[in-house]
Amino acid sequence: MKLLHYTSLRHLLFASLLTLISIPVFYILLNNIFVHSIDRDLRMQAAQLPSTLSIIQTEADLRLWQELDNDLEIKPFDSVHFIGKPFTIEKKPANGQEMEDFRILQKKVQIMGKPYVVGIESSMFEKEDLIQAILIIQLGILLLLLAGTVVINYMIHKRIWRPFYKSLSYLKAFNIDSNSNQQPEVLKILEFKELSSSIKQLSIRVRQAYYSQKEFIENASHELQTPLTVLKFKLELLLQDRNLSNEQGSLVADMYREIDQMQQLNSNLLLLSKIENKQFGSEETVEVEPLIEEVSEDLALLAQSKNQQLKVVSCQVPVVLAGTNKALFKIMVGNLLTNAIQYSATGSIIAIKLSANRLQISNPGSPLGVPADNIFKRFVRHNKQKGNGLGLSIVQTIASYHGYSVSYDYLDGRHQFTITWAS
Amino acid sequence: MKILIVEDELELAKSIQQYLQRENYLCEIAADISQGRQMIEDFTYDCILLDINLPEGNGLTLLKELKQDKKTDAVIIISARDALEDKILSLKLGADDYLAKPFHLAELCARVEAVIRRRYLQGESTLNFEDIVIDTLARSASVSGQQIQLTKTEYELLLFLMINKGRVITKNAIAEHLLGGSALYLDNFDIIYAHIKNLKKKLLTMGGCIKTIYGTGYKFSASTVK
Repeated sequence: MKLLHYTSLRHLLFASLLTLISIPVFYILLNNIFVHSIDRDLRMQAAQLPSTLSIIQTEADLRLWQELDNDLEIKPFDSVHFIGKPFTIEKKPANGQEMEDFRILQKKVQIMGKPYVVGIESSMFEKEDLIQAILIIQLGILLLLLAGTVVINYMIHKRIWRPFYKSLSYLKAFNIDSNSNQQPEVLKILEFKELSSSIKQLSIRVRQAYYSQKEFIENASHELQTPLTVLKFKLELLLQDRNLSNEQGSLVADMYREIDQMQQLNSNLLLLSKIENKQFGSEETVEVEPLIEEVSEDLALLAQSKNQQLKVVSCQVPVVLAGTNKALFKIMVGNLLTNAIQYSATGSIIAIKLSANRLQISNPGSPLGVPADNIFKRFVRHNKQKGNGLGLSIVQTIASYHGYSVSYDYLDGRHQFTITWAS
Repeated sequence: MKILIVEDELELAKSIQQYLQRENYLCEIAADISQGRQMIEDFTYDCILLDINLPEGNGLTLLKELKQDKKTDAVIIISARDALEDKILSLKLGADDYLAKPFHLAELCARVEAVIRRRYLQGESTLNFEDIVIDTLARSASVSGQQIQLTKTEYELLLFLMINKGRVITKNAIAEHLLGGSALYLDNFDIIYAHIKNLKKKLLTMGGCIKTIYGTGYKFSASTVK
C-alpha cells in the first residue's frame, strides 16, 4: 500500500465518520433548540391570554372569537384531555392539503366564570424547512472539508515526500560500481535532510569498503604474482637437475602444476578486478564472426583432446559490434567455449550459433547439479572440474561491462549460454 | 649471444639467467632503468628482456630511447600486468615480442630463440640437431635429408623441444605452448602424449632424441647419449 493511499484512506474514513455522526446529532440539537424557542413563544402568548380573553363577556363573543381566531382553540375544560406541557401533533392545516406538525400549548382560563381550555398552536412548517436548509449547508461544508482535506493531503504529500521519493529512487538506482547518480539536495524538512545525508554517508562508506576490498584483491593478486613466478622458475630449474630421481622429478612436476593453477587463478582474479575497475577501453569495432573463428582455432586442440567438434553456424550478414574491447570479447567467447568443452562428454558437438543480436553456445550434457542462478558466481564449480571456477564469472563481468546480457538455459539435453546485445 | 635482463625482481632475473645461460648465451642483469640504460649504451646485446614495471618507471621508456638511438638490439617485453593495452603499445613501439607473466622458462627460451633467429640469422632459417633439420621459413623438417610430413602441431612441438634441447620440458609448458591459456582445462595430458608418439614415429631414426622423463615431461637430447 502506498503511503499516500494509507494516509488518504485514514483521512477519508475519519471525515466520513464525522459526517455520519454529525448529521443526526446536529438534527436532534437543532430540533430541540427550535422546539424550545417555539415553546417559549407559546408560553409568552399564553401568559397574555387572560388579559386578551377578558374581552369575552358573552356567549356570542365566544362564538365570534372562535370563528375569527384560528390560532386559538377554546374548548370547555371537561370536553378535552388537558396536557400541562407543550406537545406536538400532526394535522392538516386549515388551508393546506398535506399534514403538518403543530406545536400546541394548552392553558386553563376562566371565561365568564367557567373553566375553559385554550389551545395555542404554532406551525412547525418553517422549522422543517430551516433544519433542512441548515443540514444541507452543513453537509455541503463537510463534503467540501472532506474534499479539501483529501486534496490538500494529496498535494502536501506530493511536495513533502518528494525528497523521500528522490532518495528512494536514488537507492533503487544505486550502483556500487558507478558514482554517476548524485544524491539530490534536500532543503526544507529536517528529517529528510537527515535521511538524505545518512544515505549519502552510507553510500560513501559502502563504496569505500567495496573499493578497498577490490583494491585488496587486486593488490593481493598482484603481489602474489612475483613470488609465484619465482617459485615456478625455481622448480623449472630444479627439474633440470640431472641428479633428480624419477620420484623426485615427479614430485617437483606435481608442485609445478599446482603453481601453474595458482597463477592462473591469480591472473583471473586480477582480470576480474581490472574489468570491474574499468581499466579496459571499449572503443574498438569488432567483427564477431572472424573473432569466433579465431577463438575456435585457439581452442581446437583442447576440443581435439576430447575428440569434440566446434561447429559454427553463422548468420549470413556480418555482425559488427562497435564500442567493444576486442581482447575482452575474445576472453568472453573463449571462456564460454572452454566451459562447453569441459562440461560435455568426449565426442560431443559444441554448437556456436551467431545471429544479428546474439551469440548462442550450447553443448550436450546432463542437467546441472547447482541452481542455474549460481553458475555465474565465483568459485562455483560442477563436479570438481578442472579450472578455477572464475571462467563464467568473467564472462558475466565482461558481458555487463559491454552492456550485453548473458543467460543460461537447459533445453533438450543441452546447456545453452546466450549473449544478447542490442543489434 | 648476449642477453640483457632488465628486471627489478632479482630472483626472477637470476632464474631466467640460469635457465638461458648456456655455452653460447651470456646473460647479464640490470635491476633498474638507469642501470639498464648504462649497459645498453656500453654494450650491444642480441636480445633485451625488458620488464615493464620497474621501480623508477615504465620499462617502455627504455624501449623508446633504444628506438630513438636506432639501436638494433632485439627487445622482448615482459610484463606482469597482463594488460592487453601494454602488448599492443609494446609492439607498436618496436618491441619484437611480448610475454605476459606468468610464463614458463621454456616458453621464454623459445621466444628469445625465435626473435634472435628472425633478426640475425635471416639468411639461415634452418635449425639443426644431428640429422634433424628444421626450416623455420618453410615450416618444414627433414631427417637425414629426407623431408618428413608434420602436422602444424607436430611442427610446433618439434621446434619447441629442439629450441629447449638438453632441458627437461614439463608437460605443462608443452601444453601451454600448444594450447595457450586453455591448457589449464586439459583433463589429462593424453593429447601431448599422442602428439609426441606420432612425432617420434615420424622422426624415424631420430625419434630417440625425444626422451620421456618419468612423471615430469620430455627432454630433447642426443639420441646416442643415455
